[in-house]
Amino acid sequence: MAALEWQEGAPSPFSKVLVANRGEIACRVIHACRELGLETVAVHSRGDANALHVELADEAVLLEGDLSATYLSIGAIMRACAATGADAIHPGYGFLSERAEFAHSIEAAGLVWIGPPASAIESMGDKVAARRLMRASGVPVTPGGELSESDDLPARTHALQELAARVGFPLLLKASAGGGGKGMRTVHSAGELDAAYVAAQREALSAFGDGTVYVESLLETPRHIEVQVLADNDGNVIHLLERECSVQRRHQKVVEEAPSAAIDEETREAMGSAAVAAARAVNYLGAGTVEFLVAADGSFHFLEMNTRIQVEHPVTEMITGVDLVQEQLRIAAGLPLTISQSDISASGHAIEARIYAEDPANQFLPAGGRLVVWDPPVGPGVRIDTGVREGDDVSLDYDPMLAKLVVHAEDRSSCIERMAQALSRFVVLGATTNIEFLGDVVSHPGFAAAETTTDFISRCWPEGWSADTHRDSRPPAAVMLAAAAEQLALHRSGVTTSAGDAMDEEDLGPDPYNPFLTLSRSFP
Amino acid sequence: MRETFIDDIDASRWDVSLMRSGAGLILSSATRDGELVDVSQSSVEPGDDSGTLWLVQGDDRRQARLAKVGDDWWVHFDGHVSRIRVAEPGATRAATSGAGLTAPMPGKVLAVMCAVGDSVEVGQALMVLEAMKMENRICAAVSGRVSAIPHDVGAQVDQGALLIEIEPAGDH
Repeated sequence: MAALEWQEGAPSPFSKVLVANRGEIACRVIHACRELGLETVAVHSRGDANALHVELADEAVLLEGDLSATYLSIGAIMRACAATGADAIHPGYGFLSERAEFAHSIEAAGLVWIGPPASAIESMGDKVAARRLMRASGVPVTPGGELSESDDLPARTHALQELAARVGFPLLLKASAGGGGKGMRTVHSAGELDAAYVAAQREALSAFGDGTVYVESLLETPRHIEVQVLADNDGNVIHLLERECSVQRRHQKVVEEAPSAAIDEETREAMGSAAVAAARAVNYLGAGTVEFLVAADGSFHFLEMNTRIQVEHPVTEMITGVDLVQEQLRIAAGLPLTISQSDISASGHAIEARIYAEDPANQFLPAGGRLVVWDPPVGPGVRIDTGVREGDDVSLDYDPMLAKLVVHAEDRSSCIERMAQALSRFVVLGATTNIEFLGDVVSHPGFAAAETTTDFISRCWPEGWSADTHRDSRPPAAVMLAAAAEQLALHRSGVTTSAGDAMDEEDLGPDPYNPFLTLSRSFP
Repeated sequence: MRETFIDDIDASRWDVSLMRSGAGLILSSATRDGELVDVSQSSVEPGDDSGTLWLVQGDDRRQARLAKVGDDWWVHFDGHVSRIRVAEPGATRAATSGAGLTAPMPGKVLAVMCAVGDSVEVGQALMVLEAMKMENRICAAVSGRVSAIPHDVGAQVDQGALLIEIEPAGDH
């Protein structure tokens, strides 16, 4: 096929991208590829056969088996590349995106890896080695330490207690290969340490295939602020300002925004420079994110570098106007950045809310169901990144995120209002979601005041969140509506009419106007 | 015509009477757990689109989205989602056993830390359930004696499945 115009003169051109992921990020990448004239290949498990990413891609390859044989199988994905002739691979986030071995395999097969070099993934993936490297590069890190692997239980227990005593309580146990809160435990006292360590290790092993756990000091009420970077083959490294992701639950980000309302211009520049230094230290390439914890006094500490595209990348795109996934594709083709640091400035404010299939009133447990109605809001400054559509069953086999609602406005307060309105217009029926909870988060006075430390949710809802707070403002509207709907639907299906029910078929008008024609169908 | 509903959020029981009026319905009376609730000037009109209704209360006219899933009406109104169950005439809410521990979500039994016959204290961790790659500890809700553990390590359990049955200790 003819070379693409934008790839003219590129050292490593490609034409067909296999997306080794699922859900919204797979769809996001497929859209970006299509805009650049690239063909796309989806991979999917049997359960995902009807998923949106499979429908969007030009070709799809079924991978048989459980998680380890599908989205986590390097061998299966390499075979899918060979079978379809895909010459480049985009890993998305999660799954294999930060497996150096995956990047190695792709490079060894002579294919284009849309990500940083395997060596950079390795350097940053080993969280302890990364902390040492950052310290050497002048990037401030939080105090902590690693435990040497040992099968000798008493020796390990002793070493763990010693390390914990040195770091001090409360502390965090974290998976060295981890992220997303998995394999992570907060420990408040020496008595909890052993049990927490065993649990964290087991969870890390199951989630990442690596049970190494390290110890990190727990900063009191920090903010989570991260810096987006882009690096090309010519040694250009720029940052694209920060995102604040302090609103978290169990170390999972819930609401993200850009720019952060909590840092001044001086800190912003210092963090940007530190992020660029961090990327340079590992010879980074492509899009990456350097995460920091920011203490109450404004000091910032390196947390980790995510060597992939991130879930919350759209807020950066909204304020900078840069399409980060397209930049990844250009850089992977070996092209230099077309933007320089001086081109980057923030225009307005952006907020992202993660829509999860979970029950916020029941400890945020994942909730299944069918998306009988899925009607996201549309309008100026409103963007939806999703991997589902109406009628889909919510899969409990994977991360329960359904979509990202992203809004952009000229300033933070109008952005908050736009998000609140967009959430209240987001209609999902048939599966429980966290949409109402998200509405309460962005409408909270503490959010408006930017008092967003990482304990925001537990501080604002110490007893857990409940929709009951709306009770008074919700007279029996829902009950009245359901009663009316029930009667109209019953009438339609002609199941029963009581003696007092005087309604006639004609009174409801012609069928196109009957609202319940499609609703008499029951969903198991 | 009179219909009975149960609100999933607080399990309150509603009896609602409606009368036909043009293309819509007027609410003539409603009781919540037997007590009369004011529904004056409330009516419901069909909307233009499938699954849409208008709730009219005086001058206030707002649109709702509805879908029926099984016995439940899912109602989106004013930014809130409610689930309203159509109750069988004469049905009452099932009593929940205080001593039985049920699965809060579908998952896999990873570890069982007690045996039938064990005396357990309230708050004691009895089981580890893995779901979404996260470990959830199942702790005793009451003190007492374990009388049944229906699932072994490795078993897949559905949401609501009984995990551990405890005979509460007698009052002393």
